Amino acid sequence: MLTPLLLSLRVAGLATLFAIVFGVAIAALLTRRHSAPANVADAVVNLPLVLPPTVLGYYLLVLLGARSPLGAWLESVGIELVFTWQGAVVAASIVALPLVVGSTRAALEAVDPDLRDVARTLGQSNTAIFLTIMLPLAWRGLLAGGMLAFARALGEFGATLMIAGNIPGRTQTLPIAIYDSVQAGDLASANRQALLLTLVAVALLVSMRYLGSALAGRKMRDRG
Amino acid sequence: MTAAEFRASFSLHFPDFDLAPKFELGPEMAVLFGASGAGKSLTLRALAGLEKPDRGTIHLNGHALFDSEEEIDLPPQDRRIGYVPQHYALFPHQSVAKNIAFGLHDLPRASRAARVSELLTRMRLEPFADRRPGELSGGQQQRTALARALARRPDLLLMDEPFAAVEEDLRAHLREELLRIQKEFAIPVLLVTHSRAEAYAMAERLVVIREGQVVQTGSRDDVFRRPRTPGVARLMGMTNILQVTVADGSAPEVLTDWGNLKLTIGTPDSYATGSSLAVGIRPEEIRIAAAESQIQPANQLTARLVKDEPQGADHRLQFEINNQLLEVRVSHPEFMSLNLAGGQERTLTVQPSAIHVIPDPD
Repeated sequence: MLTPLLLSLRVAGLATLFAIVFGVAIAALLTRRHSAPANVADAVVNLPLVLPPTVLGYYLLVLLGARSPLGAWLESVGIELVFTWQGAVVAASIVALPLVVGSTRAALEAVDPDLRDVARTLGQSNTAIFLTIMLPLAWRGLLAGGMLAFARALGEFGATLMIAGNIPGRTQTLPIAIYDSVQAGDLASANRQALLLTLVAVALLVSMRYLGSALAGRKMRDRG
Repeated sequence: MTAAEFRASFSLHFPDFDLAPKFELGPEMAVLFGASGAGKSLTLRALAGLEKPDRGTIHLNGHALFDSEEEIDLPPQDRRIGYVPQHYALFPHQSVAKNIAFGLHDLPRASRAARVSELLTRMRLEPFADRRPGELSGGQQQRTALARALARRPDLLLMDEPFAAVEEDLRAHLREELLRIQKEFAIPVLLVTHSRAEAYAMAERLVVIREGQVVQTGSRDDVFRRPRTPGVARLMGMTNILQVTVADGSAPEVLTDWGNLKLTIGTPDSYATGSSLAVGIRPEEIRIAAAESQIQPANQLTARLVKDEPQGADHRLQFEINNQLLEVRVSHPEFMSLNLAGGQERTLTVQPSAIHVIPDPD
């Protein structure tokens, strides 16, 4: 049995990890591509930004439920996502993904394309160039995307409630716990829980500000 | 001429621009010269394999790098071409030594280190081996980019406007250094510039590109003194282009009419009487007579000074004659001793040998 805070941190942490792994890969594939398939992929990745979370959660419930082929297959290999904390991780990963993709893609596209071209004439494979040139020069964008993703995942409510439900100690994350406390008229708990989330959010905001000014400082120096 | 090391002839179509260069290079310092937007950088990128031509061939030392018929299109990784883009594109997060070692990933560690230290010495970069590119001067950055490109022992080196990011005082020195490096490595080096002075200072072979087409290639002096078209003539600074009619076309002194005036042209070729010719005269080949007594046996033209543009060391003067403007260039001391003033009529002299017949009037 986990407290809502620990559960929230675990769900948001794992969701951020997944969003970064898949988000960086997607950003790498989409960088400087403007073909029709790339545009479609871009739209799909960004859908969670505009879709109401409850709608997204409902789709996930339908897609991953035991009655869908995907849900049936997942069940046969022993993965249960509906009304489990793992389901909450899936929901949070999907809502966080576009934030990582957007921020990483912008950072990758800001890298001087001549660097990549020269690296190719120097015999390096595209993968090696991505790992040794592109990623090291874009890591601040990636980090910013990761922090945004974590904040978004931590606050996830609608989609999480739909797919993971509200099971205290198992799927009740902090935002859902706050809702529960208010419903039960337990304002003391609601205050404490809201303060906790606020503190985490402020800490994130401060580190992002710090990151932003460090970035600006580097640009100033590069001007030479 | 020795067998060409490098041959390119390809076309690349864009909605608003057609690139179709064709030229050959030996192991020499070659300059790809043209105005902004003529397609110079794009040509380099296509040679390096960074842009794919629609059709044509690119051969280096007998191997096809690109051949649209044979469906050969080697990736940049396999072309053995060193490429230095305009602002060098040094990897900002890596030290000078790491930048140079970047292309040597397929060498064993020991020989990689040896190659890097050899290049650091050769390019006088040892003191800066651990510095980041942002901490280097323009000249040091250029040498680092060169060392990085040469580290893989390429068979051809391409450089896009290599002196653009360097202070003017340093350029002459860096040009000499680059010429020395070309001789040491004995590979064709193709350098892009839009500066006529730089083209003249560097080129053994000059490749002139205009609106995507190579309009003339040849030795530096051949292109500067004997441009094939009026377009090349203007690019080379042969700004005075006159239309004349042949009165007596037998070499070595062809007599022509330029409006009501007579011009004698020194040329090894004969021309049919009555045919019309385009001729070019470089502005520094026109002399202004100081006094009647000094006039040499040469073409004499009386013209009125209408404009004086001082340009530091010299003056660019415009004289009106025959309803046309002639550009004349004189040094500042000469300008002072001639007591020139606007509106004055003066006698201009041009040696017959300084008048060039442009073979392909376009």
